[in-house]
Amino acid sequence: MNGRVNEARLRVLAVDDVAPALAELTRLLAASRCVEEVVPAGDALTALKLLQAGRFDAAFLDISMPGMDGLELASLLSRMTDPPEIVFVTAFEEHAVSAYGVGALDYLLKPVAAERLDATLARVLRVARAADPAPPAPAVDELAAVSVELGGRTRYVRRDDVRFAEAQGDYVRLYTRGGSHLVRMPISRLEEYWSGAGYVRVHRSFLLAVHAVQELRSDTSGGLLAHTDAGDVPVSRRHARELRERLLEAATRGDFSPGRPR
Amino acid sequence: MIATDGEVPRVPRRRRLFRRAGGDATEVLAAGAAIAADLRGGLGARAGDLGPDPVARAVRRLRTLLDADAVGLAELHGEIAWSGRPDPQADELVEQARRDGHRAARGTTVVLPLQVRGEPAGVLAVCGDVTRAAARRAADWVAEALERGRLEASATAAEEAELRALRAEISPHFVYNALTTIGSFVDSDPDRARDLILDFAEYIRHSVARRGDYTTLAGEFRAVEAYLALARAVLGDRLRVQVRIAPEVLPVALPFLALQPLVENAVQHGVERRNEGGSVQVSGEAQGSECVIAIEDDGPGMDPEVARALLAGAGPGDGLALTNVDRRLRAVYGPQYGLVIETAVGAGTRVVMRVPRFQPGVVAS
Repeated sequence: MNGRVNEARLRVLAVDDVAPALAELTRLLAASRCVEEVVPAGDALTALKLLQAGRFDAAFLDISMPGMDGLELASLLSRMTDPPEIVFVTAFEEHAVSAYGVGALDYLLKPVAAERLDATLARVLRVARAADPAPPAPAVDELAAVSVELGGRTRYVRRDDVRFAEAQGDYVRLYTRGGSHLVRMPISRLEEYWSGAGYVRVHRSFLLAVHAVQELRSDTSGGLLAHTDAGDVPVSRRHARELRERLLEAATRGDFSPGRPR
Repeated sequence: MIATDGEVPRVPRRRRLFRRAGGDATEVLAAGAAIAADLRGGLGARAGDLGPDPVARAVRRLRTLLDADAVGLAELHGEIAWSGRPDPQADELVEQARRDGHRAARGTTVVLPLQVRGEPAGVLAVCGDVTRAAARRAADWVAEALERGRLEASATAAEEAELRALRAEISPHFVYNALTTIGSFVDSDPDRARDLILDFAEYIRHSVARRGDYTTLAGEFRAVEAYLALARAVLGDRLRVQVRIAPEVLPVALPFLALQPLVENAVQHGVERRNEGGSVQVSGEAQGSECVIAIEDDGPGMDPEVARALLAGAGPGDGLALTNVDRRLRAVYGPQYGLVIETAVGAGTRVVMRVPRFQPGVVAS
């Protein structure tokens, strides 16, 4: 479509000895926009041959396989020049520690959820891009304040005051405790600028400040809402897990302790 | 250096004290209690919770108590733990007593078999100027201490097994309902079927987790959400749920499956058994240094006396989840942290759990 020059796409290897599991993993990988080509392998030896024959950006490895298991395969791979990124796919969280021990980029729990796989592939892409001498990402503090028109005068809204942003066509509406402001900018662009500052996309139309969440609410339909002092924000199912993880990280850091500015 | 300085004057003084004290009840009882404590782990105990070598310490204490030249303790096989200098023929007598299971004596040495729960468990050897009666009393005391230790160990093992059993307890009824429901969606709504399978995996993974004893509230809530997604699919409109959690309590560590069984319990008793269904509300929030979690249903409720009996472990069998969670919370945090049940007939049930937000030793794996 746009050509592969700026739209980096990945060549990945999927390894699992259980045929239906391999088929499902291959299907999920192939369905992702980030992936150009998926090559399946039913055992570690086949995988090794494939890896020696051609270049892969990432290898998705099942851990428990007869013969050579995923961890052994990974430690062999780590000795290659220019090895692929390793992602383990495992049924047991117990394996996570050993997975990171052999330098894995990530690990996925079986059965794999499509949105979780997307997050992993995004990480692989970021690493692949970082390896290229690509143009640097925008500086974190760009757009720390956004200019808005108010009654014909230009004012600035501080990013730290924005609890969440909602896409409205080509505009985003920034919600603060004091009210909301319309800015002409697509939400994806705002996300790019603000993702390093604790903002996370929780819905097709919403970008949320993690530290502004006062309560997570789920209702009968299974829908999830993030409650802030500037209003409630819907969280779509595919973003729910990431938001929960971000909230846990923030809470573990003590971002929600009383006395901290919100 | 310091150790030597301390020990040289202490050992003879203590021995003198016992000799002079003779039958001083306080001293004898204290020594007896200490010996029993040393033998809690059995005659084969090695370095551990009871100290570097509890059996050797017990033997030293027995020698002091009996004022013997030497005292030895041994299992049916293996080395003898001696204190003092045994007579040259002592080892041979020990072997004889081990083999025959009878008392063996020669010169100033007597070796007595030890019976624990009717089975030979080892021998006690005494050398020196000790009356037969005193040696026999000592042997009885040691045998009783060993028996108590064994009972304690089996009680602890039973308790651990029970806790493990609770952790692995998955309602088969729920599992089949969930699978049947997922199966029904495979054709009509494959995406939903796929989502529910992921929820099912999450639910099972959490229920059979073998990692450490503790998880985070975030982890427990993840399992609760997975369970509720499945329960909603099974029960449809009959189940109305609201879950509210404040992010600051997400990292709080608590025992695995402290919350999820209570939610399952609320759905089973508050909703499932009623045709018109019902609602369940779960909330988690910080209150000072504590995290307060409440599970509320608008079901039939119960007589508060029944709730009290449930927590006392005397209720009907289906209240097991409440009893077990209550017991585990008390065991981990102390008696004031048990569950609180607010209920009355026809008034629904509200179960409140309070856990400290930070507790030394309670760390999620």
